[in-house]
Amino acid sequence: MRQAPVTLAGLLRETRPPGQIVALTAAGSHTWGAFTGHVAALAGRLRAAGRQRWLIFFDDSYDFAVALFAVAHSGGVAILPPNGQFGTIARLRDAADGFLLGDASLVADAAGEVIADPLALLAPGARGVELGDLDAEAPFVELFTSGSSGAGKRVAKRLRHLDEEVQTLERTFGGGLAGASFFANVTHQHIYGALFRLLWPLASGRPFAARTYLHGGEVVGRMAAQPSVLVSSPVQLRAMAESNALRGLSPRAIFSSGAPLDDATAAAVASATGVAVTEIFGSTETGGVAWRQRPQGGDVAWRAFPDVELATADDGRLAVCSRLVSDGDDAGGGRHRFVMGDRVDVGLDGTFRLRGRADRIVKIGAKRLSLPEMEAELARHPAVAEAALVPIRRGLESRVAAAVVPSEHGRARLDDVGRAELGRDLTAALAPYFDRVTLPRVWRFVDALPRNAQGKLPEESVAALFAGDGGDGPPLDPVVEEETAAGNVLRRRCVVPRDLAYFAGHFEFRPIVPGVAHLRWAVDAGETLLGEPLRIAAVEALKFKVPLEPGAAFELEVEADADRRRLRFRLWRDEGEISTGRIVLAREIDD
Amino acid sequence: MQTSDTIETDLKTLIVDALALEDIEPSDIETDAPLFVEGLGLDSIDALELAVVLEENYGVKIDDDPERNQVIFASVRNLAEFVRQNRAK
Repeated sequence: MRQAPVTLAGLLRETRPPGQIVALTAAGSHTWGAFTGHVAALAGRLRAAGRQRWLIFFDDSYDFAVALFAVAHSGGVAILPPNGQFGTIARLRDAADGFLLGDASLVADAAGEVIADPLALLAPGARGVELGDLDAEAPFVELFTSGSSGAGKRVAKRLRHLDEEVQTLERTFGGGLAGASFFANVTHQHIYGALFRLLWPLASGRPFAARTYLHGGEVVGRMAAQPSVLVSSPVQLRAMAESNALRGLSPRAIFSSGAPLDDATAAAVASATGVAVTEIFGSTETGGVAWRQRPQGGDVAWRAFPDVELATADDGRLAVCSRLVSDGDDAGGGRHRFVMGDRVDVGLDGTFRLRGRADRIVKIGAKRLSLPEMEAELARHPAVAEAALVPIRRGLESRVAAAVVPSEHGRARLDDVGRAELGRDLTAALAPYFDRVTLPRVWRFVDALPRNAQGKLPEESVAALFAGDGGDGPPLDPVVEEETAAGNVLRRRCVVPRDLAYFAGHFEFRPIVPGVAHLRWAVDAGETLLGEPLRIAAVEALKFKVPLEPGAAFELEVEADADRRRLRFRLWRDEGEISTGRIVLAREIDD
Repeated sequence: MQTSDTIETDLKTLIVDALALEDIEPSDIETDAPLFVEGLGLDSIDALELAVVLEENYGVKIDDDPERNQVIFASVRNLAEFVRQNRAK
């Protein structure tokens, strides 16, 4: 059998049988012959348009693949928005001068070329460009990480980053997948989906399904008919495991990434399919870092991909150095070193265990608490399938609130003894390990955690589960996600709570944060910076430039002048400043 | 005139409301049961908050005297006794 050459740079120059299937569609399939024709025709059109930066969003993975390679072969760069929401496209459109979009109405009034049907250009006799080798060092794509707040961070990758990634996947997982077709319930607009469901099968000559199966069960019928691989996520696998959709299916491999896979789902999928889920750990910045399989669940260590070097940074976070890393410090030889937000224990054999996100340390009554640690402890309880914790303001202090997805056993307990009793059970189970004041004070038992489309769990969505009940009423302050202080400057990364107390009385029709709240937040940050209560003499040069809405992420900075008489403050976000001003402090006169 | 029983009842309501205790009715709190840790499960932050509301409602001041406070906060009954002896409102 032919050893499949695995290359993206030389992909379109390969001589494959024209009838070889590239993509499976509802109606049938697209062949290698069609694919090369489509790419050549579209690349010709793009080159004629003379544009360089093409924003690409398609639901259909084949259309996306054609667009992606046509952009590269026309000498351009592909910009991949993380989703097709109007707001996302609107935020990114100025970064592009051309648009390849399944839904042209998203950029109806945009300046620039818009192409909605990338396959329509393949008319008989149409002349496309000649498809040679691509320059592996050329900028290829710009991706966006879906962080927990705001617009996300742009990460640029050269073609070779993805090319080497695909070669790594083939080397690590390719054996045993000959002739398998790839199906997915994650989007190709993100790095994980782009690599696993599209670029890897495409480069290795395996068919991929053009459709994304967002309701997991549907994909099973298609997969059962042929040797197959499923590219999935914890959310999707959990849903499929719970509805027994996977029973009797025996794929060659199942991949999961994007969030931690809980023990119960890992075990349920393995028992239903006979295949241990291969979990992938990585990020947009680092590319693939490590993988693991754990058919019985449990805290199995992660194994690094070949040629990925791991170390622990000072604060216990994972530092990744490899040729796949495209962000961070240049480490020579095409390598970069990037410090991730995940804390780890690295073993002597180079494997590692995740120890939670470094940035989810909170203080409750001056006691430090790692939310991931407590979440992990909760997840060990037989009544708990999954848990998410969030600090909420209650009276004088923040308290921990717990959202719990009960296991089957937990649901039975809930029916038997009720919420209060189950909450007390769980509190008692945590009590031996955590400081008393850090124990959760509010419990919510929910069917699912409020994950977004990428499977991530934004803190504000969890907090929203507890919004508006009990306590001393709705919050007056923003959720502070991160705080850094250096010298006479203090900076906070914040999110406006959706139930902010100020929204009740102000601007009923379109809630925005009133000016008095901007000031209050600046004063609060100033008190933290100076370590004492502020006595305010005056506020100068106050400017409110754009409104701040519920749920919005923003940054707050206060800077004290040398003699601590004045505090300059500034609220802003990526798009620009929100408000600025100067607080003049009263001089002490009592001595 | 307020009987001692109603102070106990009022204190239970105050505890539940001020501390935003979930799934607990004032009548669930036993007058002689421990309030902290093994009983109602209150903690040091709760003690701070209780001190604030006791002062607001009854004008009683809780001093920073751990041994004495341990007695005062031992149960609703002790708390009520403390209020009766020290109340200003």
